Amino acid sequence: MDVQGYISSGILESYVFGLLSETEQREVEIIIAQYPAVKATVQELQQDRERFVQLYAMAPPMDIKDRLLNIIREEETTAGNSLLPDELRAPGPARSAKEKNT
Amino acid sequence: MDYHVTYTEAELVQGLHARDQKVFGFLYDHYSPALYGVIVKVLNDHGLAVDVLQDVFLKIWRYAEQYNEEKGRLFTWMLNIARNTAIDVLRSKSYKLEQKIQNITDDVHLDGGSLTVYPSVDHLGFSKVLDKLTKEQRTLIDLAYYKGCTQEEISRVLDIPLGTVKTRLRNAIIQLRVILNK
Repeated sequence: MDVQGYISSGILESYVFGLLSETEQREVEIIIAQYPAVKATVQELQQDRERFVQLYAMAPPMDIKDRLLNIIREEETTAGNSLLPDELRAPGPARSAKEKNT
Repeated sequence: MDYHVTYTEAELVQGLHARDQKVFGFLYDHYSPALYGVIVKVLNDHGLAVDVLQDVFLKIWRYAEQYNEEKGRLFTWMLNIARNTAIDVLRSKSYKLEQKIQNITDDVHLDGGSLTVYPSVDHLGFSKVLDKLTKEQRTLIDLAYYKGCTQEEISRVLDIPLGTVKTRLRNAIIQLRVILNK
């Protein structure tokens, strides 16, 4: 493969900025795993994207952190777990194991 | 990005896996402004953004096992979760493309006031960077990155050929990188 040509094709920019379809993403990830030079370029792009989004950083309302800490402290208990949205609840087996202990 | 003040990247990952609440607090303190900024930019709605921010941090906590360091740093993974979750919410609201574009021009970040620049990028400055992009470049990046529009959708709604969208978007990202690395 022409590694330099691939790097300068623009596809890595699209990958890091989330502009590719899932299929294309997986294809890029296979290439990244094979070519260290491609991986290095992706890492640089990711750091630039991190700096870019920092430009929009805003402090969230103060009370969110405590609310979150309360949720994660509680979530090991059955009651706390049931407060979570469905997709975040502990999977069945882990839950019943914990319930036995409480 | 200087976040090795108390924890190394590896320690943060281990801490998440070990369900260390101090590590969770550290991640929240250091990254919530960046993640909240992304979410607000996507949704343009502070009330909704607060709910999404909570979901995002719970996902980070619960899905820590799915973080794969081969694919990038922890912050990159967190950012992807924030962007994807917010874009899913945006889609579920079934905003029309035209509204998304309207939202860009009403951007809450541009009204001054509430903007809090993250300390580590103070020297860069928000407008200093974005002013160096053309309005079209900003619109393209906003639609693609923050609104999750496909390049096909952008082509249709801005009435620009797809090939041109691809070229201009790529040039916009390259230009952005040049500015960020100055």
